[in-house]
Amino acid sequence: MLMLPVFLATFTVLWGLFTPSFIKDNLNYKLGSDSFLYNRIREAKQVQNVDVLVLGASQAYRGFDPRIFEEQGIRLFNLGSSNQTQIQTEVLIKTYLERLHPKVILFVVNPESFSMDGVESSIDFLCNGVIDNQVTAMVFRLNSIKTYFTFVYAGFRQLMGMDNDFVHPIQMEHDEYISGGFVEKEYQPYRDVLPNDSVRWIPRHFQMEAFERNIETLKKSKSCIIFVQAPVLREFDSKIMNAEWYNQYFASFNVPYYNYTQILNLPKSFFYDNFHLNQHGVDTFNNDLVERLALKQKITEVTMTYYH
Amino acid sequence: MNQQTLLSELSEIFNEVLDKEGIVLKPDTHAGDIEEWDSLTHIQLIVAIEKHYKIRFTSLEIQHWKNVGDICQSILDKTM
Amino acid sequence: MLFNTGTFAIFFIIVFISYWLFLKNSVKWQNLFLLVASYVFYGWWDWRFLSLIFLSSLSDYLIALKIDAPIKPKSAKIWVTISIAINLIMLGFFKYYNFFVDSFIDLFALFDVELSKRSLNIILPVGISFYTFQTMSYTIDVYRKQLKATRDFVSFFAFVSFFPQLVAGPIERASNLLGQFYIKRQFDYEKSAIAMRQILWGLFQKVVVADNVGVVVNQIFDNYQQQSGFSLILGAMLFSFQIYGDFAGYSNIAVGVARLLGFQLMQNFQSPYFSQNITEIWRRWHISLSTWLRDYLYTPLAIKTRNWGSFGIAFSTMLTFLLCGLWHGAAWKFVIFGAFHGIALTYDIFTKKTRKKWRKQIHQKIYDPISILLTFSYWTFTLIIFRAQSAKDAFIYLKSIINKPLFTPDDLSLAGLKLTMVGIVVFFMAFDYMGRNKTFAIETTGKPWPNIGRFAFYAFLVFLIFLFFQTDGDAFIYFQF
Repeated sequence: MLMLPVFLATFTVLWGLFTPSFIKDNLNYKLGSDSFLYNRIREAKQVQNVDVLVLGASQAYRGFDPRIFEEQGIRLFNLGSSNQTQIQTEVLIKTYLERLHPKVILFVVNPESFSMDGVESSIDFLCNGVIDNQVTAMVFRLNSIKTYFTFVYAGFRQLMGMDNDFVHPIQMEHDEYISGGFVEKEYQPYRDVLPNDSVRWIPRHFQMEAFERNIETLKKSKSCIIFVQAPVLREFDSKIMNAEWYNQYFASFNVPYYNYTQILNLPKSFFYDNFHLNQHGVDTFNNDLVERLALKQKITEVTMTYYH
Repeated sequence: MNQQTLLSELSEIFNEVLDKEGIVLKPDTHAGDIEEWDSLTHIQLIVAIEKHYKIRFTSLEIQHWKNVGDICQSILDKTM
Repeated sequence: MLFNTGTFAIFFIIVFISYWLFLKNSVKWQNLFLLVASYVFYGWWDWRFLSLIFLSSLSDYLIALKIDAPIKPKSAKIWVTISIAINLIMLGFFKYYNFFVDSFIDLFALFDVELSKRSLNIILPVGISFYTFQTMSYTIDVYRKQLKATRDFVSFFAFVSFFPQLVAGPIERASNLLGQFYIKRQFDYEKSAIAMRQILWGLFQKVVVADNVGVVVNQIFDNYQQQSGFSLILGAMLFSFQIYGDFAGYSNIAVGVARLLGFQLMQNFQSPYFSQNITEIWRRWHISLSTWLRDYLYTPLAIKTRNWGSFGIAFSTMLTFLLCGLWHGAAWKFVIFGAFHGIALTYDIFTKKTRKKWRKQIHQKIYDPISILLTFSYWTFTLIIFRAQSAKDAFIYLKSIINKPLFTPDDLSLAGLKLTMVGIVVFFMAFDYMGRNKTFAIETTGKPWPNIGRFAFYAFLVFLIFLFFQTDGDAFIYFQF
């Protein structure tokens, strides 16, 4: 019986090494992804003391362009990643908050991530991130067969240094990684379809718990926290049955909350799909954000209060 | 007619119906012992036996049989 | 409670420990405990339908005692008829009511008479087809004087509701299972080890084969109008393996679980896909059902019609298989499925001698594999009718196999997934073939190997079960209004 885990781990590694990747099973390993987590994590390890930190899913890393903030004299780092849920945000906060030392945290709280199980994003973290104590804790917290398999195999590869020669490209298809954690999509017009039926993002209990833990931790850090819902297509937003429930939920944390879908009410020409702004949209959104949130004052305030 | 002669007569009927040679029935022989004796040939055997002895069994009688001995008993009951 | 869930694992661990640790000295308490556990197991799904199991058990318990008492044969016949009627009415109402009503309305519609629809919203109580057959066989056996009626209330009720085989068989006979409740069960390490192996193989069949192959099968059957001929054939063949893995897997787990409690259930499957004709398939497929139908339906019918000659045999065979089809579900497609099997068995009966001759002429080394392939093809063909949404869909599906182009570029999409499934099936069938004379495929696999090799093999199966476990990782939950 004691031999079982040893056998299982051995088989996992052998399976990962020798079976072709098209076999659809619970062992997923993919180095490199269109969310550029690989580049972002490695850049984050070099960066220190930023003004603004962005956390969240794809609306985060595709919606907050550090170059626009730089023009206004704000140093922003974007830790968003594909399908990031609260479970992964927790890992990022615990690993990077101290070294990045942000004055303002823009917490992107688009509701769909609350309804996800977090497995897909975890696999992204295991393959493209660095497996450390926090990531390990995340694997056990999720308790999913898929993440266990990837954990064992990805762990083996990292231990053996098998991917040390890997260089993630800066450009993939229509996406380009921009220093500071942003991913710019080459301009393309909106082409997506609206769902016929209503949509309901049913929140998962453990995601809400992780969210509340995250807010606790952030509040202790003395940074200024702001909740932002990055714009999604308004026609899509109106299909979400429980959008109002989320508005109330986020408002209940005593944290400033901006729902940018409602604030800007942008038309289709600013989006490339239902969930994501094109670069024109990002420009508009980011500039409005700096002004409306009075970001510069906030940064100064925090700096004055706590760092003098 | 005693059971011994009955058994050898039945053996012959079995050989013929089951298209096999050398079947020697004993009182405790049952369907599991002879490969060809299945649910289909069972019916053919009943028909052959009834024809040979010019008797007719009831359904319940047939369903009481557990082995060849029981069949013999039923035949003896009818022919005596 | 399903076997491949965590809930069942916890339930069974509790049952297993209590049963062997605290109650091992009293058969009576063990039986009572099994009865309660079985009712909990069933009630977990829907406690209201426990009343049906109770009713079915109670009526047969009482009626069997009546029949066994010294009464006139005529009265015994009346009582056995009442017992059968109660079970069939229960089954008929809960499983077939809507089917009969709808068919009746459709029949009148043929003559332009419109009847108002009175379908009821009836939930099918899980396992009703299994336990009603089980209780019926008991009363009939008592009537046939092949069995004594029992006065042991708890044992009988536990026999009817015995949780390992309650919802999907094997359909046990009282002559095999009921007696095991009377005697003391010994915990036996060797037997338990075999039981664990059987459960492991059952889980492999269910989790690795059936659940994964099922994903591809669903894709193909749900969009069958967009598929190439090749895809349609592949989908049908994969379904054959899905349903085998699913059902035989369930049976193996059931037999294994019962073994862990000291009970020996009957073998329900024996490598059916290596059969050389449809008759043989039915001897190896769902054996507990096919022997039930043989003993309680076919044989009485054939005895009654024995003077009609060949026609009597053909008639009994056809009727048995039409009802066998209907047993699988309340729809015409199942009746048609049954009809094709009735036809095949009738063909088998009348060509028995000819086929024997062919086998000699052609040489068995060529004849046998061809027979296996042809048998499997025919079986797969009938399963298309079984799996399709309706008889009409089945017809279009079959027509498309011929009419649609054999290959389209679309076949390459998901080629990897399809190839994986074929790989799984080949692995599965290799072991199935090697263990075709055993009570389950891996009963003795690895016996001559060193311990470490044998253990590595079991660990590999565990690994595959985890690796291919279908997780419901759906990130987006759409809710429709």
